[in-house]
Amino acid sequence: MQTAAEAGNAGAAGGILAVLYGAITRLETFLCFAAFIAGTAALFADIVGRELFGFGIFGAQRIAVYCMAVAGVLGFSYVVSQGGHLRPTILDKLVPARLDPLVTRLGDLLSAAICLGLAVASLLFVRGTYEIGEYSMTLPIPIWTVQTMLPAAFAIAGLKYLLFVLRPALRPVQASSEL
Amino acid sequence: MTGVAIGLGSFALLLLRQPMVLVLAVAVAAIHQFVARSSSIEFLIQDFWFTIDRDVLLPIPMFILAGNIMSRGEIAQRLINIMVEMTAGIRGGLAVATILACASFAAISGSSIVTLAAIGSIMYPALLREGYSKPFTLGLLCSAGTLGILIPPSIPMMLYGIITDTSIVKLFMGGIGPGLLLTLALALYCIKVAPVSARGSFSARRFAVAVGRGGPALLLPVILLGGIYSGFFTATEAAVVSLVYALVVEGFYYRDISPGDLKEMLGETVKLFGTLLPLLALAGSFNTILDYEGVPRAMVGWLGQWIDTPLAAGMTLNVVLLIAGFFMDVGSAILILSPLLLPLMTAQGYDPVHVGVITTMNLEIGYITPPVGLNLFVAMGVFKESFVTIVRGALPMVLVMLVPLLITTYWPAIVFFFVR
Repeated sequence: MQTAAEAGNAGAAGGILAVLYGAITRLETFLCFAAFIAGTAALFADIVGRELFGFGIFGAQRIAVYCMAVAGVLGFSYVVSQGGHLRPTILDKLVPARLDPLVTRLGDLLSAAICLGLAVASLLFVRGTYEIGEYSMTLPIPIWTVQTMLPAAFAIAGLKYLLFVLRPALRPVQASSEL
Repeated sequence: MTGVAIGLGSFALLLLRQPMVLVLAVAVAAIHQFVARSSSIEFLIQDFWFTIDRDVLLPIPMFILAGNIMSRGEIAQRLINIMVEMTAGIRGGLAVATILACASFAAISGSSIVTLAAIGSIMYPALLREGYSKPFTLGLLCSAGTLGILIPPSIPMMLYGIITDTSIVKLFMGGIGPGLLLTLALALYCIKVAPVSARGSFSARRFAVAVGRGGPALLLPVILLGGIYSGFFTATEAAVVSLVYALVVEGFYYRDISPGDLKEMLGETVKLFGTLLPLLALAGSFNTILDYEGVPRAMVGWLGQWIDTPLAAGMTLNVVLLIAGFFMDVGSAILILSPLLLPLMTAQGYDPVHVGVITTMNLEIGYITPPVGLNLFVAMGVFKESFVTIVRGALPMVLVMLVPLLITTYWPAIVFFFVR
């Protein structure tokens, strides 16, 4: 039986995890939205410049591509918090309902492992780009600075899944998301 | 042997409730590591990066956001008002107005569920009040909502264009003829079977007033399609124009959205884009490895023994995609199957644009077929009706939708009429 002190400690630990999760979610939401707005603004300014004034903004299209890539890849992690990733439910009934919480938790652990594996693979890829000193064709920036969002997004998603394993109450309700 | 292991692994992942994107990631990583020659997991990430680092992706988030803005604001209501006045005096007029409203909304939104939710939430109670049965109304809304991905702009067509290197502008133009044909087929079906007789009579004055009030809403499809057709806009420019126009009309003309609404819409957009982009990137990697290993060529050679006429190829494409539509979402089906099926079709003389339109039409039907027809689930959520009632209404519409599909498959002129 859990004592009051143990329950208090568990509650405090859970609170810390919830605060950590909230901070991660807020930061990635801000970055996603900012990247999306910046990309849209760059593209709009370029098109207005070209169509109305006869000259575009140098590199605007590339900036928009990078911004949208950041928004989309960090969006992968954002969707984890929203429970929005497409998930085929066709096999769900093969598992008895009483095992649902266990399977969900195991599934989150597996998702965390996959995401962290992708983060490591991405990190190796970015290191490769860094070592050969590759630059953007249009903009004077090293490509690895943009590519860093790949390991970051996968790592954040992996961390979130781990938090769901440790504190299932943080897990969002599954929602569908489609075209 | 490795293929069986990958298949079993994917099954186990699905059993452990993994999202589609992670199942695909593991499967493609395993193919890179264990099947492909001179490859490793690192190449998966490299392909992932090359897919997302492309200008051609830019219209997708723009059209998603524009669609979200238009579905929340007044544009849908204004379009409906015009269509209701236009069809007054016709038997089944309100049902026909619903189809026309979906078709016109589809011309500014690239999404089926956005079209269904935007038009359906307004028309569902109106159709029931008019005496239409629940199953008929639900089937009508679900099927007309699918026009959202056939009439340009269309997010699935953009995905097809990116994954098969086909011109998105040509795909958009190719979708117009079949989109109008499907609109006509659904409208004729409604006139024929509608249980409701003509409502009032047509009034030119009322129609003119509705057009006057809904002018800005009606103008957007004209600007968009006209701009693309004339070559004045690229797909990216059309997407930006659509977004800015939607913001200006809803924010300043109809004054129907607030900054708070915008934040919510941005969240919805990032959510959908964040779902799609990794799927697209992983499918891009899968496609690269297939191509590198010569799988499409081998498959065409093998299947070519049996599928050796355009008639058989068209039938095969339709059957494969209709079955895929039963079980897969549109995005995954396009991204995974298109690179495999396209070489088979081009070997029999089909144009990639034609194949793209046929693919979209097939998967459009998948939106309203159980067990995973997405419009059926959206309708359950939006209209609070049972799955069985919705399916009962949707199934007759599937038969109606098969007719334009077959016409489009074997009469390419309808696709190429607007393609320049």
